[in-house]
Amino acid sequence: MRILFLLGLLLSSLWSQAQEGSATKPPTENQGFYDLSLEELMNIPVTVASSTALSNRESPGIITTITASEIAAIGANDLIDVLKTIPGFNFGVDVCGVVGLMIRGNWAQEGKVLMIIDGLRINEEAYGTLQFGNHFSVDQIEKIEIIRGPGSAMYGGYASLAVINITTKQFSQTSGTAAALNLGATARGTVHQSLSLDHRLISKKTTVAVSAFAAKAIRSDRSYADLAGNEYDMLRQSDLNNLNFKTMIAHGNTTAQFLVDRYLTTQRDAYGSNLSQAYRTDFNSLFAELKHKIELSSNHSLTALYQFKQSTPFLYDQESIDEEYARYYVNVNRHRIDLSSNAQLTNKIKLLSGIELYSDQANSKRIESNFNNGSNKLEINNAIFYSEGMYRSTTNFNITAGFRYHYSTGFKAVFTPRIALTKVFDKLHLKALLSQAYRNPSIENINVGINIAPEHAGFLELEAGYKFNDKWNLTANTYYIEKYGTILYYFDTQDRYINHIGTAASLGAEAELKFKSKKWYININTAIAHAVNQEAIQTYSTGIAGRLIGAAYAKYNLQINHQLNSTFSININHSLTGKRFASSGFDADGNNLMATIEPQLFSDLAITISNLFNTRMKVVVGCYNLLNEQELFIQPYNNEHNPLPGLSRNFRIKLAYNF
Amino acid sequence: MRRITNISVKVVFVLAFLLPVKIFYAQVSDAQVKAMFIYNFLKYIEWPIESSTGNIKICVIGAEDIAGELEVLAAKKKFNNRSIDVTEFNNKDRFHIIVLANNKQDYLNTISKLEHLKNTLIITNEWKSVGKSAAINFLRIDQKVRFDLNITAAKAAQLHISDQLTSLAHSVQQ
Repeated sequence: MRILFLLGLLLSSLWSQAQEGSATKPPTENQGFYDLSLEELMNIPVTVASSTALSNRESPGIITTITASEIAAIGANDLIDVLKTIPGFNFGVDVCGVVGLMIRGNWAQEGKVLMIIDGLRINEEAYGTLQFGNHFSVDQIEKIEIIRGPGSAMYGGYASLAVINITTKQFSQTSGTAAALNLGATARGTVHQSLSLDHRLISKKTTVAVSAFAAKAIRSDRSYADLAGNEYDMLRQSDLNNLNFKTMIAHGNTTAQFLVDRYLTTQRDAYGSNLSQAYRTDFNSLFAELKHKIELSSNHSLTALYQFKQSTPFLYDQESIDEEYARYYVNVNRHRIDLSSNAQLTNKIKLLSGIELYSDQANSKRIESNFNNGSNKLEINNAIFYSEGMYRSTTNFNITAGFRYHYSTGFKAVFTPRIALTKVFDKLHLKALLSQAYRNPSIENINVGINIAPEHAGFLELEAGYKFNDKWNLTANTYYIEKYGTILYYFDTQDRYINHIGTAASLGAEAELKFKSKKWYININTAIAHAVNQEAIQTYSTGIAGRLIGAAYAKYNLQINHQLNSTFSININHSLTGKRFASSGFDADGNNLMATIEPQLFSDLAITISNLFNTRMKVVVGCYNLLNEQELFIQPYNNEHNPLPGLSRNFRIKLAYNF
Repeated sequence: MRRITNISVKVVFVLAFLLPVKIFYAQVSDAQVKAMFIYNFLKYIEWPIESSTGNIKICVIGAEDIAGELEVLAAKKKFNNRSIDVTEFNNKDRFHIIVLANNKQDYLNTISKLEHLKNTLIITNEWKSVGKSAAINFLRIDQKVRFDLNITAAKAAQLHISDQLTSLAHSVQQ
């Protein structure tokens, strides 16, 4: 199969060169859209939505955008390298060796942050989680747009705290083939190997893109010690392997996509004490999409979308020693239809509305473990109506208002409105955002829940930004979040999901200063998160005012990138994480015991050599965790789990070639 | 799942091999096309001799999506070995081109008063009509980008517009 795939890439690449009559001249990076003549440009239909595209300063959200060149500059070989630089983003450990996101001091792992890749919603559907660490190729990314706040009104019930929207190079405008090899090692041996292949063919009416990613890495080369002090060496017992394949075919206004993703974790750390051996857990996903857009007029388009997703997360279905590692084999099939209308009603008013219908069919593949309804099948059906309108005045004052109504057979219906006011003065911009958001219960929340209801959250966000000139840009924002009905896994005798009764609130601020010139890129950002009533939910509570388990009160990032000449650039990242608290079990009265993690400084260095030997080869060499700080993924709830170590100082090399 | 993967790889292989390759852009934004229009205008317009060397300086006022696409373009391409600088407006710098969004009409007065901008090509983005001192105005007709030309304004700026560009214009104001 692999030989066939590689042969396909090679032959189609040769074919593309022959068709362009340039067999002796290799295609350049610019070939394609950027070589079009005026006559050719005049024949290209342009998208309606993009004609009203908003800059980050105008967007009705707190937005961070990261481009492929910025990802390349930091020499990232993993999405964690990129996301850890985002204000308010931190990582913590969940179960089964999975690492997830904390956002603005809140544990977001289970269904509170949505990740989208080319329109495909990546969260698995049993629990709504994401798995970070050697999962998906950063070399295939064209752009990441991050909403650092609620996105539920437009993106639904997994987007209550943030949306990570990734566009891959499959949707870029030019044909091309790229390969990237990443290798990483610590003093104890190889810790990362990955190969990414990416190929795009753009023809008169059709675009075909294929990409593949194969990766083998480990979470850590250090030792993990359980609460009793028993250690295990993670070097050979924390594998994070990934194999995924994606294809996209676009013909006119019709797009079809297909993604297969196989990810696995290996670990021995469980609840309380270590397991007697390492166990592997699989996360298999399959995605398919068919989308068609009808341009009714230059100001109005309709889009019809069908998506299929099969999630098989946390898969372990073998015997374990003394049944110490629980078997789990559930898959969830989601069929989703979305019909939307995007209309520019007047010069100033734009309206996007849609209907979404989806059905989740969960299957328990183990005969002896039925769902709580007594069957090995559980089906939840959902109907959603959403709408968002935007008024843009000629004075750069924008009002955006929208809502989402979600009806489900699995939980109580939810209505989520939001309103955003943005105003761009010449150099100053201001935003005021008032939003509600929700987290819809996932299949297992409903299955193992007691009358489980959606979790709600209310947000007030204010942002101000000042663009001093075309080089310096400063933005700062503050937020207040109230969550109520938080969905919790309750450690009673039945281990059921419940809704927390009451409100948990947090308050914070983020600021970012950017300098960008032809030779320099400097980004300084900081995030402060304060838990208003940290004691509200016991499993997250430290007992210390303002502090939740795992959340740093403050974090500072500094990135300096210098383009020395057309060949060499150097990048330095510093990340200072403030004092954190980690759970270390319970005292005799059942209160959380806390361990203190003192402030930590992480520094990374990357040197990029472009056009090596006058070819299209790019080489990035780097040293990450330069100070050999003990990176720790803290479990942000008390589950009798010590912080999980990350990698020690590691050296990396990336070889990337654009054919 | 392995079987599905296997089949999909084969299908893509066959499609990828069979497709002829020519330039086409399935999902191109308005701003991307306009940025490329602006780049192409450089081929058809001559500036006075004092503006014909050094980097090409383009200032975009208000249309940040076009500015963003011009920056992407500038990172990829040069024009006759001249780099392209995309900058914000200031009262001191000379610009070869200034692009004005449709809510930035008040800038025309400011620009017209600045002596060092007398040879600047003013491009307006989807104004109701091409302005008095703007030589080019973008339009969108049937989802495609077009442009109107104001030869009088171009002459006043001492810009020479080629006949080829004139022939491509949607309308020409003499």
